[in-house]
Amino acid sequence: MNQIWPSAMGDLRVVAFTAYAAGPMVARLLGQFGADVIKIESGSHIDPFRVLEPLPADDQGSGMGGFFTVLNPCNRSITLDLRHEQGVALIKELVSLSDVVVENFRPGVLERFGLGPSELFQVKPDLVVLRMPAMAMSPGWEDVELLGNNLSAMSGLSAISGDPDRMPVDPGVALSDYTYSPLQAMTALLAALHHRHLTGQGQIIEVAQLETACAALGTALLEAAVFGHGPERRGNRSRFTAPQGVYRCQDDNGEEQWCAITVATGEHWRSLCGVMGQPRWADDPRFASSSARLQREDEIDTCIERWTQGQNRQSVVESLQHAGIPAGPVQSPADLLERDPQLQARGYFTELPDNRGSRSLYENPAMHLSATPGASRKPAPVLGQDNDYVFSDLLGKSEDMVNSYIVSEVIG
Amino acid sequence: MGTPSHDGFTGKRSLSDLRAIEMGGPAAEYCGKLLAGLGAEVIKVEPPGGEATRFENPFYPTMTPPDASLPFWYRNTRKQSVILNLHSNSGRIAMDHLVRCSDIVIEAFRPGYLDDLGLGYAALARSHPTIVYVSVTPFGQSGPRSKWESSDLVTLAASGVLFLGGWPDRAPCSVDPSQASVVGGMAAAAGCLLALYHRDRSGRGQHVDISTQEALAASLEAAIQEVHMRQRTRRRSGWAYPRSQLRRIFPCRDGHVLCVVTPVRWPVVTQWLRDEGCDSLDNIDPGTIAEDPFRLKENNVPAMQAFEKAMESLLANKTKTDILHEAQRRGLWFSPIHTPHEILEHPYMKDRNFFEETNHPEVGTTIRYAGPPFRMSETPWAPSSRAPLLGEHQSTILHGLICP
Repeated sequence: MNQIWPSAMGDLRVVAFTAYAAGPMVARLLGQFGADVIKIESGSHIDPFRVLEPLPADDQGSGMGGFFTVLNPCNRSITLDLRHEQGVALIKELVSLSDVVVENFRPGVLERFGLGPSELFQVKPDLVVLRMPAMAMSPGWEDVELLGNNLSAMSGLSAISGDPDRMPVDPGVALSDYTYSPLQAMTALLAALHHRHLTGQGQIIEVAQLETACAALGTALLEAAVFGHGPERRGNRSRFTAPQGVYRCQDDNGEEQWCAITVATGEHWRSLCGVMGQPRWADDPRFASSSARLQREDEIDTCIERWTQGQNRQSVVESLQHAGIPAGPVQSPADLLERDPQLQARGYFTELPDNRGSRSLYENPAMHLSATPGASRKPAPVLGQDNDYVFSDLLGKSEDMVNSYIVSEVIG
Repeated sequence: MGTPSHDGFTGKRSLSDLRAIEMGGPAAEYCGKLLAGLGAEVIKVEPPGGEATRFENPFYPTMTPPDASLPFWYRNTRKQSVILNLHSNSGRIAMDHLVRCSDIVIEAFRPGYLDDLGLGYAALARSHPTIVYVSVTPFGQSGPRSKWESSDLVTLAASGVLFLGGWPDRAPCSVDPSQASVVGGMAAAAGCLLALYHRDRSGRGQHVDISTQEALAASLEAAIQEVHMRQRTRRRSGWAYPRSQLRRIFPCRDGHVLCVVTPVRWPVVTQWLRDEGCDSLDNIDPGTIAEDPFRLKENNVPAMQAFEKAMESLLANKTKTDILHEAQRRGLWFSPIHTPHEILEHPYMKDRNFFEETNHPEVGTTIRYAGPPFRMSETPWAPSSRAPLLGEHQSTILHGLICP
């Protein structure tokens, strides 16, 4: 891109020991807002997301799988072997020129490389270290490794989600890894940088992801503290107003189409009755209040679906929105990418050229800053693509020095 | 690292030098809660009668609104409350004075509402160019759907998250919809502090416009990339996951556990079963039962049933905690499904001092709240205090800040 964008974080350098989703999502946000993010990889221990499907149809060995690319724009990549003393020394040199270290290893891994916070503070006393383990080191809970789905299960999110007559459901996506942990980590990191701006002091931030997920469910936990049990699962329904749910519309090209509708007020209810051509229900005492409608929600849902299933989703949504009722499509990934006018208007998606002569798809941040906008302006890196820049330019190593590192497999 | 104590800490917290004004619903409230936890002074500006969220169920037994709502209590810890009628001239003037001595405004009103009152970003920035003004809404400030009537469920549906959750034989169903506002609030806090970073260096504020739909859409994993790269769509599949993992819930002695098995770890599972005297899976090729919603007809049903039967007997008599520890020992991602009640009593959560006993004098007791989403070694999370009563700080704020 030729355009120069005013950048929020152009003065910040970040060393990122990040893989999978939670750490890279933080690194992505920092890079999107202009920070110089250097991802530490290794030829023998690459980010597993590089090789996870979906892989580009024309180059399955490229190490540029879809999970990896979407999570790693605006990152540089260098390859170093941290089992080598010289590799660790090079990291320390890099850290001495940096402001932040981000890592989502299991607890203790950084220390085993000789790169624990106390070693890092020796080379950069005002460093901010952001650590994102699944669970913190606590007696009996050392060294626990968990996936995002495990976090949904252990945090209580699954127990309060899904239909009441079935077992708890997985949210379908690892919400904890992709949103709770990275957004909370970003907030804590920026608060720490503000503190550093005022006082010159760095610190260690720990985002123990299980606790982060539990804090997102704080309302359910408060209910459990007061009533002795958390909220019951209600699927898509509300516990206190009715109707609310997901209703089937006409299929489109053989694909299921669903819409979501919320009636939260008496006015919504009366408008819905009008739109559905059932004006008498608006005055029917059987449906006159939220609690009355809650008692009859099965009956009401059946009537609503009888109305929606004969129509296409778009006309259902348009007529409900026109009547002031909260309603919208249950959008598929293809809907978001190809026919969501809101995301198009907001510029949520962007395509960037990749190293194979085609274009990969990226996302832009949900936070739109008026003066210093963030965006995915540089594609995800090929493995080790920035070795030259970091070792020769940034760290000023001679060509002979760099060659010796390559030969001894410190770099690679 | 040791758990930093947040009792008796006398230093500055990271945002102690900042004051934020907060208005509007759950997403603004959750954002304000995070800033207050980080040490900012957060003042809720509420309409006469109180913010609508004060009437959100469920209520504390024996208490009635406007000071009884549990969701309101959770989202509004550590804040102050002042009532201003923004539709009146005197209210708007008071607001202007308040903004003058604040750093941040957070609002979750429908786009245009505050502009119409002369309190939108453009108007306030003219006289307060350093203000960081955060607006969080379902779809953002601009675009054809920005003025849509929405709800948490409608926002979740638009984001793509809802489509991917639930059982194939039922309507899509994902997380409890109230998580939509929580995610919007988290994105708002991060966006606010991004703008603050810039302000620290430039002296200038700006408008931070958060779309909750976009914040949720960031969690679609690679579902969009599947469409873009391979023209195929991931579909809801209960607990199953395309191709690379087996995921199942199984009952155990004290509830349920989630078991995630990748093809590489299959031998670990069969070894565990053999260690307990079961060899029924020894001749099964895991590749034939790795579920793949893209190619369902290749599922090997008898093998899947053998897997489920073996796992059920392995796990039936063990407790959730024993399963977790044994699985971790062997390198498997098996974890308990906890209810909120179990989390309140969990030994790990207690060892970590995760909970905050928050005093509620009006109720006559302390109540246990979830605690910090993160720990900071030098600037710990501020001690908890209960959500403000409606207008609780009216005179201190009116006489202290607005008309000193």
